[in-house]
Amino acid sequence: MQSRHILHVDMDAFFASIEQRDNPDLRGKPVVVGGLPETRGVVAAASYEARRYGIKSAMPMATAVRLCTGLIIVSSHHGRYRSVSSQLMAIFSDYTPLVEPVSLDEAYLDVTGCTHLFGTLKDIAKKIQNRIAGELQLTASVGVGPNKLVAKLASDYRKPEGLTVISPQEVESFLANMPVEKVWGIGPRTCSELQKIGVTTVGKLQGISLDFLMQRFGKHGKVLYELSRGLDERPVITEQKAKTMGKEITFPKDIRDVPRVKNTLWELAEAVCHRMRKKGLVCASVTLKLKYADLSLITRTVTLPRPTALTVLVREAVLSLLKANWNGYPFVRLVGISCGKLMECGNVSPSLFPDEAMDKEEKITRVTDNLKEKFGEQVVTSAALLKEK
Amino acid sequence: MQISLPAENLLNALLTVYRAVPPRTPLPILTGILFETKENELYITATDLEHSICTYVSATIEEPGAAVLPAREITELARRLHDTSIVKIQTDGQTNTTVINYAQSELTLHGFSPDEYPTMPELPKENLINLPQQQLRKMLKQVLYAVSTEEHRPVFTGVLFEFTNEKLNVVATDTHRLALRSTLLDTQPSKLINVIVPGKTLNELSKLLVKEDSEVSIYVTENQIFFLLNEVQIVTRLLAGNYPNYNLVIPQHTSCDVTLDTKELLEAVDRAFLLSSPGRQTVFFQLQENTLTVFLNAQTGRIREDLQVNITGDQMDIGFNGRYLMDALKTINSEQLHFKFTGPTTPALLKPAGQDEYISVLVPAIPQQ
Repeated sequence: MQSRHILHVDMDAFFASIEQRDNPDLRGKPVVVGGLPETRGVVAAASYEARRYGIKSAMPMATAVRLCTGLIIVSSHHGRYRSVSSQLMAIFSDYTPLVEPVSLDEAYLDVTGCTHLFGTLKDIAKKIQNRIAGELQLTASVGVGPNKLVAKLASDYRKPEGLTVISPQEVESFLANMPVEKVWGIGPRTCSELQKIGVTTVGKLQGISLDFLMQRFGKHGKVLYELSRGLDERPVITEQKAKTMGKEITFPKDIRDVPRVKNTLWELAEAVCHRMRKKGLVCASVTLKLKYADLSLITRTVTLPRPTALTVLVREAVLSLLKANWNGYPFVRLVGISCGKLMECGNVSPSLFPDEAMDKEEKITRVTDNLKEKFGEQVVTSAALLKEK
Repeated sequence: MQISLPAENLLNALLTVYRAVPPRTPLPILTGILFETKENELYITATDLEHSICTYVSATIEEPGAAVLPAREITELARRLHDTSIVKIQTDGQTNTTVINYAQSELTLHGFSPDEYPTMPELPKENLINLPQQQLRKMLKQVLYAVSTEEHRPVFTGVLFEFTNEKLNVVATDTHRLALRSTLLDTQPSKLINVIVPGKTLNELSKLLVKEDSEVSIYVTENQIFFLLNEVQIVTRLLAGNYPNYNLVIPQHTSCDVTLDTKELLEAVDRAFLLSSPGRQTVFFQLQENTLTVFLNAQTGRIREDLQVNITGDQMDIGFNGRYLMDALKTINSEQLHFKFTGPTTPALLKPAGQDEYISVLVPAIPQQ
């Protein structure tokens, strides 16, 4: 394989930085984005000022509040982050068509062969950082390496506003001092297994023979051997098709109120189906996710008689799963729905013997979707889902 | 019960009824096969309560009786025995334990009590009609592909049998396509009725309609239909509900008629369909002058094939689900076919050239708004 040049661009405290950028009062202060502690919110992003107190993303908000008095909690503005993200991706695409977005604020860029156009790898990275600073007033850390594994570790090496370029010759020494848990592909379980044999850094892992690793970890041993030497052949994939689409919600308090759980699932079904319809997709399977008060989790899946994106059909499927798996006991903490086996709805053959109820449902859905498109998601809903104000 | 018979005969009988054993059932006894002796024959039966298959085979009956043996084990054992070896089956009616002897070996199976096995419905006195097996098999083959598998509109999971004084029509549709096959009857049926028979049972029936020059006898009660052929009897529950008036959806006036070679079109569509993906299954036709162009554009590539055909009427562009189109084309049993179009978004009709007893209706695929 020809040697590649991969960039990993990771925005610094993306959500929090956007909030600080748009609201000068928040600048220089510990800010987190996420739900309130009373509603069991979690930290979606923390500003660097907040991180100094040990606050990290995915931490329960209640913990965060305890760590830092005077912490400012901002509720998330997902729409805004999404639009900033598309501006960001547009900047990347000026440098290479091979952009793989990992999340809203993170992407891999394959810039192999772009050095003729834009200068050295360092120049390209610098240009991207400058444009992000100039056009979006945000900062990013960039890592450059011969593959995704190294690029990601490099972007994380110095943060914020870091720029780290690792040449193929430097890879092994760059990795040597990394703690093993930082490496993509080494999860908590492998990590604790490695610790048992005294391996804490990638350097120590490099010192272990392939035979021993294979013997101890099976097939994964070979992967470990390669990872420790910074070998990673994964290509940059520009378009990743969604395989499932889902949504879940944690209740502020554990509940066993059957009608409320049903209505919540209905709302989730509508949200997910609306998203599928917007993308022109249909799903062939529906999964119900239930987390009980004791944190045990079940998922149950059913295959639909035919692929659909109609809320009624998905709702019926998920409610029948609920009925078969939960009768109001025990308390439920989280419910979720996930639509799988997604495919493009493509062309449809009209029915020779129309199912009137279904036709009517399709028409209503089309009308309400148009309304939502024009006036926002909240403008129309089923009467059963109306909440008292 | 104590009987003996050649392994080959036992296996053939078991394989015939095994199709009716439900793969999953809340009633354990239905995972068994019923053995009963009558005079010099062994009758064996399987049922999933929706439909049942029963057959008989001659055997040496040393002691009459009955037994219910686990279907999978007894069938798989018979499959593994040498054809010519004699199997001796001996059941203790008290314990429902059966000892099966073959060569110098024996196998003991724990079965169920035959008294608990569901009783089979009784054959009505008068039959409705007799049909040649081959004729019924051909008719079913031409319509079964169109049966729906979606349970939410049950009548479409069945095939409509419509008996008139001189004709039998069989019709199937999944609402996106429809197949109608008619046949003239040599004898009048004993009553003029319409029934909807589950497609699943008919699929199994058509596999058993193998004998040349032999007939199948059909009996109908209020909610069941019986097919008797050779040594086999199949009973199934009829589907309740009204079959919609299918005549309304068969196009009467067409705006473009094409006559072409059946095999040529099928092969062209088959090749075009190679480029299809789960969400994109539409194969397009462009009808112009004396050319029918089959094409499909996809992410992986594009294909285009020109067929020289005879066209009368309007030019048009039209798309069909490729899978549906091939299913329909495979049932056209003549060299040439008539493909009649009514418009780019309205149903089209396929017909074997020079034959009037078969029609296939196909709804075009139109882009979702």
